[in-house]
Amino acid sequence: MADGAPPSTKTAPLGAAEVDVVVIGGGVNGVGVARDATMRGLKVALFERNDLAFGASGNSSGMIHGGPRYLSYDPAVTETSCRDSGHIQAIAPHLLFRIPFLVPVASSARARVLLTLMDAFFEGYDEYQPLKRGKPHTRLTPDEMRALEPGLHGDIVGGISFDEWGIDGARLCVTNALDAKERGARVHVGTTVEAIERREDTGDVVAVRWRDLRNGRTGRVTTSAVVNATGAWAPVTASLGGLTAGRARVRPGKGIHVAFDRRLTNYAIAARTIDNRQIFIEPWQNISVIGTTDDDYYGDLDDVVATSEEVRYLVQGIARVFPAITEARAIHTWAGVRPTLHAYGPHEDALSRDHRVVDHAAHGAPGLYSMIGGKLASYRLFAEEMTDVLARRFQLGASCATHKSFLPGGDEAVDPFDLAERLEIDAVAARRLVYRHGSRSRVIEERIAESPREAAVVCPCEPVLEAEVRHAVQGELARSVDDVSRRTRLGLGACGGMRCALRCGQIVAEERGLPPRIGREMAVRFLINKARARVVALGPEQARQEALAISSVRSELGVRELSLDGQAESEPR
Amino acid sequence: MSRRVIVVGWGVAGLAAAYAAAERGAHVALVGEGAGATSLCPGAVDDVDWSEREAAAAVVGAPLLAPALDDEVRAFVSTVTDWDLAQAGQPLPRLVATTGIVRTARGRDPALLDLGSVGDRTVLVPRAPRASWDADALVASLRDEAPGVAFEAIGAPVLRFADEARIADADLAARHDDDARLAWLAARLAPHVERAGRPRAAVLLGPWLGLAAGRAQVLAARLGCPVGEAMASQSLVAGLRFERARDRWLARSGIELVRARAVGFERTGEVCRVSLRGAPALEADVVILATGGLVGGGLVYDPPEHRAAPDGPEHVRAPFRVRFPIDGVRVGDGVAAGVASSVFGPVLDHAWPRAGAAGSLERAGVLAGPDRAAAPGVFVAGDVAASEHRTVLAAVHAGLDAGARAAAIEAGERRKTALFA
Repeated sequence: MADGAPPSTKTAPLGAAEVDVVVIGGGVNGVGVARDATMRGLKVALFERNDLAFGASGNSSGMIHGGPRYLSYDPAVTETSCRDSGHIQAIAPHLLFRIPFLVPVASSARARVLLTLMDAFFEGYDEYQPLKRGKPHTRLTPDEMRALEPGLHGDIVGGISFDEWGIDGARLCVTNALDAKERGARVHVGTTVEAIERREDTGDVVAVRWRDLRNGRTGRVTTSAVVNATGAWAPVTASLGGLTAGRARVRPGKGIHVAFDRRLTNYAIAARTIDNRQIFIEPWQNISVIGTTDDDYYGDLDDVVATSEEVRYLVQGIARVFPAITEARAIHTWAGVRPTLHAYGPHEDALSRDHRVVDHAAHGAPGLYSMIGGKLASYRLFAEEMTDVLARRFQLGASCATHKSFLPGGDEAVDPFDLAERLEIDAVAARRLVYRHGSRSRVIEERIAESPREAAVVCPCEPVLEAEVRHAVQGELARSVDDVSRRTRLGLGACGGMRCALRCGQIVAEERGLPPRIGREMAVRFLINKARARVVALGPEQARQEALAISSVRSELGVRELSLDGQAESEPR
Repeated sequence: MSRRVIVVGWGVAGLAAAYAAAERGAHVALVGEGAGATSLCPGAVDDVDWSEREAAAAVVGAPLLAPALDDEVRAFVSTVTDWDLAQAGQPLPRLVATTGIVRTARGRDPALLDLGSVGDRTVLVPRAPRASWDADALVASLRDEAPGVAFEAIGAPVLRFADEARIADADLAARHDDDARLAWLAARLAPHVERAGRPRAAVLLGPWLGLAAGRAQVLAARLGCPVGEAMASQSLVAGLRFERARDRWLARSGIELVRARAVGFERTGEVCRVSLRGAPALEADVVILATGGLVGGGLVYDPPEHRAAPDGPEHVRAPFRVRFPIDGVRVGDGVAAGVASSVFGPVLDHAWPRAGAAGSLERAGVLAGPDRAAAPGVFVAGDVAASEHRTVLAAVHAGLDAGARAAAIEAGERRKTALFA
């Protein structure tokens, strides 16, 4: 079909194929569509090439912020973000935590004017705050600023405080995927789609061919529609359906974060980089995070890592407002690639954070859709818009209810202190457990009632209990140490997995019925990948500890196992 | 007058240097403080990387027999440490790690169970509710790793008090220094050993069998069967036993021990002077540095950006330095570090080893000539002189070499420079 043909209004009958919709991509947009479409009565299969939240969703700033940054040029993004932030708080209250922000204004000739302008600007933002249970902004004097955050540096004339919410992006993806699965969707992780088959005459989507990357098994599933929700991979995925990559074009923007071993501040603090970009330090769960960069990315999407250059750039920017950062202990970095809407020319920071559904009927591929752009905060709305398009295709009457029904664990609050007492575990461990699982922490409680030794702490930094590791494999689609870490934050603390990865690998192998050797290989791969992410941010004392970590791993595992880096997981078929 | 030698560092390389110098009649002062790589060694005593040896053995299909070692290395190990080295030509010991790995070693802390000596016995592995000890998972892994040996998880209670589910391995080990406690443990294990048919049983425990020497052997004698530990890289227990053996040797050797951190070095004419924190300076003809590279802290990674002004460093300086002001620090491909090529210091993106190649942190060290001399009057040994990862016995050998040369430069004594005889 010729380019530029009008989108097809053709409809498809329900149940004509094995599934109605194949969703490709286990990021927040993909799992959001899978959940919404399943709730509206469609038969859904989701394929994720790596793991849920492997890409941008699990490597974000961990905020569902309203995006005040976009207010001046993209107010619609701010409004939708704020509105949807409110919805997410309603359906998964256990996953949310408040992050109050401070924006210091340094003394300069125009500082007073700047402060007044900012005050007026946040007045505008306040209009959207009620949508997400946010508090209105406050203008603060220098003394008030320093009282709130004693580590603030420099000659400041005052500042602004405003309100945002933090979230664990990986858990958000996992809960959405679980909900879709419990409602009947098929969810395949570690499974790549190798081809999207279309009819030669009409161009209609008829099936996808998939390959399980861990055991090489292949298969085919027939379907009436395919949703390409693969984020920065979108052009690659579109090409699997015979489209040119340009039909699902994104402008991939790499962003990195550096994690520090504790909450260094009470408030998130905004700062400026040497090239006047806005960055921040935020207290996030039990760590501090600084971020982020935004650079056009031309590398391998399956292997995105922060470099020491990027780390130094961020640390330098934060040090201007919070100098103690240069002596803080960096324990981890992560990097992701934003699937920003494509535009040639604008500076990375000036790109729109909006999202768009591309109906490839216009390109001769009816039934194939691409989700381009988007933000963590507005994933649910984006999924709703996508599912509305599907609903029209299948002539469904059901309207979206994803903002009204709880995500798994969100339905009921659990008191962590009671839980700690019942399980005879540390209150901190109980609190972390309840944060991650909400009312579903009862499932883990039941495991421990059945087998009391599962109350043992596997990862002392986070902490994570043995029962939670087993639950991640049995009930949350985790297949490796890395997957468990993504779901529980195991091994992401100060020890970098040195104390828990091998034990975790042992458990994963046992739960999956694999030879213990495979569990060990998973653990080594995890240790090496985390070390690789960590070394770019090392300070002097940590370099010593890193040298020790290397010799310790060598002495136990030998050099050959250290050479696993980059190899595919070998598993019996 | 005998030569005066100062050895800085009391890990295995420093001890070997002190031993060799003292054997040759030098007057030795050993400066020691803190714990380094040797204290963290889990009890496996390697000559070469064990995994490479096993890979080579698999390729040629030959059994793993112990190669002959240099005589002085053997003499040092038997004099200074409690470690057992396999006799040349005999099978290598096979050790178990709590993570389920079985690996060979050239020698071992004698508290570790040697699977090679277990023969056709059944190895009993008691269950214990400790986070790092899952007997069933361990047994499953060991059956996979050592198919010729029978393993069985048993329900014998080995923890006596409730807190023992949580305390550190070293604390639990210390409780077994008590004879009554060891007798209690033997009584708990005995019925299981009997049931398995005593001579046909062996017992594998975690790294809990005492900080004093020979506790595992005492337990073995009580039970009438082999008993030993699995090693754990984070446990420190084997390291604490090494330190006790070291202290016993130092007490009887006549070597002067100075418990302090060396903080400065200068050379005036023929006299080397080492200044110490909290103790009077020492003077000698020769100084041997055995301060353990980055691991022991003898080598310091000190990037200019650390503690710099908010905008970044004002000065460029060498990112790696020895605690003492001597030249010749190297990093990367064995080249002298000099000043950094950026004001922010080096890029550590390849600090970890990849695909068998050493990482940049491992390749940091002090440049030394073929005679182990780094500067006039200064010799180096152990990790501080390594350009790649080192094994325990390689560090011993390097220490002996440096000690011998330091004690007898004029005598022109030539030592064999090979670790293997």
